Amino acid sequence: MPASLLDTLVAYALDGLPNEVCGILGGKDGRVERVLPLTNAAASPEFYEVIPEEQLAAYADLYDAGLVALGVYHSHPASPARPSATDVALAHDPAAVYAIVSLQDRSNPEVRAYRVRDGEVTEIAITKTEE
Amino acid sequence: MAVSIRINGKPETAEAPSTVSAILEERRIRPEVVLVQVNGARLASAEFGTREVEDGDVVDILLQLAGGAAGYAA
Repeated sequence: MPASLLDTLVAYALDGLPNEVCGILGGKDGRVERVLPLTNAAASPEFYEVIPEEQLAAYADLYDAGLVALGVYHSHPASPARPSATDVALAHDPAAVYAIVSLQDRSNPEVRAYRVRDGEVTEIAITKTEE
Repeated sequence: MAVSIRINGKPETAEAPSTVSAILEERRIRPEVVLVQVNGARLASAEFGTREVEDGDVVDILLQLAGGAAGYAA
């Protein structure tokens, strides 16, 4: 994942404070090439919920660009970059990457990524690239 | 004979004809957490078991995207 997009995720998370932010990660061959921010319909510091129509529109944008949806990101304004019980319970897509941006330490934001299959959480290493 | 499926934007194919329920069941997707569109038209969940999809149809399956720090156990 390009370092600039990681920085973008953190910037979105900071801009969205005090609430959580969310969006789609698009790309191909396992490489994230676009970040598409979506409305957090829950507008909450502890919950996010994507509006299905926005979700569909984001996928359409990705198709048009020759990309696919690789996963979803959201922020944790005050907790670690690890899936909460809520995250695990609501992770319905076993093929998706779930990225979490933690702002628990505002001076050192952290982004980590996971897959969740049948309630089992596996961390995925994020390889930072120049571009 | 195949149906194009896009599950949260990721392309797949399924054999046609089939019902939406069968497509979901085959992939162990719970129908209560999805929104389904067939050829761009939203399908009511009550129709999942009866709506047959055929060769050339495009089925978008949206799995709910939600979560958050609530319930976080450090």
